[in-house]
Amino acid sequence: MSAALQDATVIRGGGPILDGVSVTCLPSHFTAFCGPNGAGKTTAFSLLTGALRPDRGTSWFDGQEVRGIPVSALARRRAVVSQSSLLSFPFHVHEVVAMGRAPHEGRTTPQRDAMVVAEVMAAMDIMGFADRNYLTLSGGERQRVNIARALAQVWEPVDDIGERWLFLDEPTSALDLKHQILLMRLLRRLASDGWGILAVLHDLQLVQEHAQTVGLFKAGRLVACDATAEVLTPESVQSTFGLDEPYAALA
Amino acid sequence: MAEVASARLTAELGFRRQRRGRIILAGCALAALAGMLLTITVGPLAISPADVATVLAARIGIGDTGQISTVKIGVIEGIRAPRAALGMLVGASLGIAGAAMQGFFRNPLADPGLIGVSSGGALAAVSVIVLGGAMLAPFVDALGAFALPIAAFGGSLVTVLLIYRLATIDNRVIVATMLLAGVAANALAASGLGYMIFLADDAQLRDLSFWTLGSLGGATWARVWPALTLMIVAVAGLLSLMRPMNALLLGEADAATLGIEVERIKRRAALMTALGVGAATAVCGVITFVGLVVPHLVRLMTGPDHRYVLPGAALLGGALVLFSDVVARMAVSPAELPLGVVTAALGAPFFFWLLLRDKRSGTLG
Repeated sequence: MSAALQDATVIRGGGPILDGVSVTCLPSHFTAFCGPNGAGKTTAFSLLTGALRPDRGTSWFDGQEVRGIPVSALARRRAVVSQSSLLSFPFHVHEVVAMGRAPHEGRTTPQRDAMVVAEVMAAMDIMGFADRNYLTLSGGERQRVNIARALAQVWEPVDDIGERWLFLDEPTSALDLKHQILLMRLLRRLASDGWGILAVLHDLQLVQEHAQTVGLFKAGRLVACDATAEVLTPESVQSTFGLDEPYAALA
Repeated sequence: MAEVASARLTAELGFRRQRRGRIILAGCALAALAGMLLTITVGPLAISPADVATVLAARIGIGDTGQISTVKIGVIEGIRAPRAALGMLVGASLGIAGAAMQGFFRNPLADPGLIGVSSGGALAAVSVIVLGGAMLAPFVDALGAFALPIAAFGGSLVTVLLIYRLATIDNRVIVATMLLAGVAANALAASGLGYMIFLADDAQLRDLSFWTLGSLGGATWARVWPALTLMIVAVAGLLSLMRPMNALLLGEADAATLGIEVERIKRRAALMTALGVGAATAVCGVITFVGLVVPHLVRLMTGPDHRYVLPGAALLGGALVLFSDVVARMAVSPAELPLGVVTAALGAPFFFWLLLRDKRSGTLG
């Protein structure tokens, strides 16, 4: 039961942007992908969610090739928060969140859906603007709504499958400090409840404090993947990000 | 306790929109019924709603037509009923196709008329009329009464796919490109239409003149039933896409993670849109702005949820076309204004208003 890449390579514009990466994300674990811009984090992330097909190698989800699993079955047990949402129609916030319940249509009741939507809106602190027009929200508020939508999708365990996964691509990029911390605590709690969490993150302090496992990417390769304290050291960050001196903020 | 209270509040928010949506849909259905009744009752020969009810009841085996004259029955059954059915389905097809295109392009300015889907269909239909005796004879022989709507469907489909290919970069639709590609497609179709008019003989020419402006005139069951069949298929096909179309508004990647088979849904939406617009164009010519105005009106009332926008656009589209047709018939009676003139007179100012509104709120593009 895991999400894993096996020797995955993606080639764009003649060269590899991801080069022979093998990595395993475990359930009940908060895994973070870190690295400089263009290092291949988001590419690896997209392979794991099945949004992208590797040119070589395989992306596994729960022992099956991820792109071989029917999207409807996949949608009931794993949700994805992408970097940006393209929504340009004036839905109310609660309606956007309720869209996350779409994969469960026919297996749930309106009452249960409403309960889930309320719980995830409370968790993301967006109850205060539940009936606002999504298009009038700020970037950070929209991000919280989209995270809530993903949470609603996998909030309840599906009867025949216990395990749930949440994939987040830079979920804190537009969040203020309070909501960054709120989200990190929530992800940690979900991981301890058995969820598999994978997030691409740039803020190393947040990662150091909350993630259990870190995959460190550089130039299309995975340079390290292990317990956070092992991977994130002032020296490893210096060499991975090409800094002038060891990154003292992590010490 | 707070959780339970907030759940109740959320449920209430959802149900409030649902209730509102259902009331609006009922209103749209009433408007459509009123439009059909008006179409049958209004005209040089006045017919009372009671007469209509009696004839309808007799038709399904309740009572008989009593003292209603055979002329009246003839007018109701042979002239006005097919016109009402045609207007209803043409409006429904254009309205729902507009709503579907706006969802498909994830942009509220997409309209089958504006982006050339109607003219693509019209060009194909006109080509069949003009060349049906010569070059396209095998096609016409093979398909019979369906030749015209099928050809228009093909023309519309090619245009949808062309515009979509041109306007999409990295899964994002560039609105300016979409509209400009529509301008080009319309210009190309107009030039093709012009060439067909040049080739046409006098009898064909009269047939063609109404094509560019649209009309419900001359509807008889024999002439319209193939297109009616195709339009029913298209409207039903698009109605079945209500839920996935909502997810599609989030963007294709996000829709896929919600379990939507994006490519299949997009293909269905494009096919059904082209079928509906093509069939409508094949019998009525190019009727612009119905596909733009109607979904917007519905959205203003119900919000953007496709579970209400799609059926609402079908019902209100039918109502708008029927009422516009009554206006077109009565305004300069006994002559008839082309229907497209009326819908464009309503729709073009509405489009200006949309542009102004979007310019102010900065959501254009």
